[in-house]
Amino acid sequence: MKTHTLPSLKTLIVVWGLLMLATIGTMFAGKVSDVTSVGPLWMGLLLVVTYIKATLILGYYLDLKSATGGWNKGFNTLVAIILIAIYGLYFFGA
Amino acid sequence: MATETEQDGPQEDWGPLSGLSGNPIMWVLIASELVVFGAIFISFGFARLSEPQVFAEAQDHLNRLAGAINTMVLLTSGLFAALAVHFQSRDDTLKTRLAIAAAIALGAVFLGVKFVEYADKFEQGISTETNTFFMFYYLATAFHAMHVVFGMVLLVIVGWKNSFENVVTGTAFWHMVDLIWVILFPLIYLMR
Amino acid sequence: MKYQTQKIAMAYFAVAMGLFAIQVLGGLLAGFIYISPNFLSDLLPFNVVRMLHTNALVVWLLLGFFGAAYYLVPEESEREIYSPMIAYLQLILLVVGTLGAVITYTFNLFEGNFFLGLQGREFLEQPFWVKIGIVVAALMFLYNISMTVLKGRKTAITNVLLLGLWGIAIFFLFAFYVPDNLALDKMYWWYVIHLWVEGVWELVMASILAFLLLKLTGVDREVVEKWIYVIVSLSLFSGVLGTGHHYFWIGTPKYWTWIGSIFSAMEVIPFFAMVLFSFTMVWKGGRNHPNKAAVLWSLGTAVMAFFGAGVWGFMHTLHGVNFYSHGTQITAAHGHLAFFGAYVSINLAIITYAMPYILKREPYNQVLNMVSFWIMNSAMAFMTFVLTFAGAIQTHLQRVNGEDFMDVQEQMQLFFVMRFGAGAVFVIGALLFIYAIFVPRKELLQKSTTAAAE
Repeated sequence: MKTHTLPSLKTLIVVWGLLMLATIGTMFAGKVSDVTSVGPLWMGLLLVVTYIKATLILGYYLDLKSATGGWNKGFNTLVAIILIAIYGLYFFGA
Repeated sequence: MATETEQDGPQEDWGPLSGLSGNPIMWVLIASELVVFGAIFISFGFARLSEPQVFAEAQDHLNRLAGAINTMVLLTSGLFAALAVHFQSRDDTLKTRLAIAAAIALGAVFLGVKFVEYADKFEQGISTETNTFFMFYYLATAFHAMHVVFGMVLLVIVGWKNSFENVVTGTAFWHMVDLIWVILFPLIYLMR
Repeated sequence: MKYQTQKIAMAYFAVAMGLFAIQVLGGLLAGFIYISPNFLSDLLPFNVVRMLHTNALVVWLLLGFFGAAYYLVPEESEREIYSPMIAYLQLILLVVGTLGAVITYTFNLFEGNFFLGLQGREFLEQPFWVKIGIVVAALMFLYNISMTVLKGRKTAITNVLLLGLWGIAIFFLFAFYVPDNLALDKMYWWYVIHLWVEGVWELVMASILAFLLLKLTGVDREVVEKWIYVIVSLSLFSGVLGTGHHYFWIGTPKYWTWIGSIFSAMEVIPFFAMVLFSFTMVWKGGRNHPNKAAVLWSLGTAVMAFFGAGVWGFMHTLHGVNFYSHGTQITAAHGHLAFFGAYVSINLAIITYAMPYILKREPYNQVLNMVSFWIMNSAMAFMTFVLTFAGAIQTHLQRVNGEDFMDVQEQMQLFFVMRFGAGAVFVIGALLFIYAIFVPRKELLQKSTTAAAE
């Protein structure tokens, strides 16, 4: 089918490395070993990192970068809407 | 879903769905799943508004480190699933199957960690009826875990009947399960 | 009609239309009891009338589905029905069972007898022997249809139809399972009709609709098949767990409030897809089929199902809303438009399409049929609006203000009168439809005259 547009081996491994780093980032921003509240600033950072992770998975693992039409944008937007709603509910509930 | 693939080829016109790789029906499922989990997550956010104290206290009972480890396990599993597609595109069946086996094995590790977490909760007498937080915790994580199990079964099937179309379709489901956990983890384990 | 055995459908459609008449007359009677509560209260209590109204509906819709299957499967599989004799025996068995059930209901015979008497579970009261008969009839039907499909050409339409029909039979088995725990009893009780209407019936509907659009519009089979695969995936995804919206207040765990709300909110999507599907096909299709009435019903069923099942269902499906609206006239509004829009209309569509072929009636002078379409649809739309207003008022007075049930009922009198009027008009439309279907037109009318209403 469109084998020629598949991400290369190197790309996949780099993406994995970035995802691992980002997860460590979320552990840090989310204060995994602490019981205190995260706070709006760190929470925002946490969700931005989450969004980046989601776009990496959608774009490279699910290979939406090579999909025609607006699929990549569409799925990214859906994730963004969910994350923004979550942040909004966190921010106004704090 | 995977049984419907036989008549689908690249020349088929599925309208807008044609722009996606793998079986178009899988993408209908992926989009639906994201909407459902999105709705569960947003509902969680709303429910949290009315009982912030209960949610904060209950969340401290979770093992945050276990959640983080499981994120890494699942993302690594996702890498192997993506590698399987890569190898399959070169018709390297052996490497494809090894990659799929690795992805499945890491899925099992994920379930193992999850099991330890659940066992710990049950020991503390925490059930779905304990409070709203735990109702959502069990709803979201158990629902997700069922998808992990289903995804593992799907991976076994596509590893066995490893046409390119099948491998792309099966791993697409796996990445979706992965993606959902990536959003679930910060929301349910970390947001406080 | 290319195959002789397609004629079997005629017998099924005839019985179905008979029950349709009984059903709407029963509905009219029930509507009158709302205005004059003591009417016939000794002879035919309201609960019996209501149950006849709903059960006659379910039985005739099933008979219509069976008839539709006997009509479309030979054409799709390109072979005669495996055994016409089994098909007719199946119908006789169902008619005997239905009569037995109705007589037992109306006169409450054999009270307390496990085998012959009513079983006391609302809407599943059928005596045990009738339930057994239904299962036997279902097995005969499935055997007959499956054998025909297996021996002939396999298409997406017959695959989806078979999946739906097998699902109907499997979920009916829960009518036999009666746990002692009342919450569990209710939980399985919902499996029977509601995993039908929110799940497998949607498959049957999608497959009949696909068959009709294929024949009426001349669009390529490949295009139609893709649409129904997408629609079927969406309905099974949303509908099976969406049935959880019946588990809000029956004693099941609290997480059902969220599962039920979220999945059932998505049930509107497959119905919307059916609207897109039918209009796209009619718009794209080059064929100008002479059976305009069948095209009308096919488009009508998609639109009314979307509003009745989709929009009116969504209106009160979130548990925060349902907490207040549960069991009010809102439910009645939704129930009426959903059943009419989705399942009554799809049956009337296939009957409208098939009958001229079965009766060899050309050139489809179906003006009366189209008139009945507009009468029934307008009457049902009016009834739905009336009941929705009544329900909104009832919810406010009874659930928010906490007024007494009977006081609130009295304040809704005007709406009940209007509902009765809408019902009466609907009955006229239904009888007109039955007349238009069965009484053949003697003279051939010119094309130009079909445009003018009679």
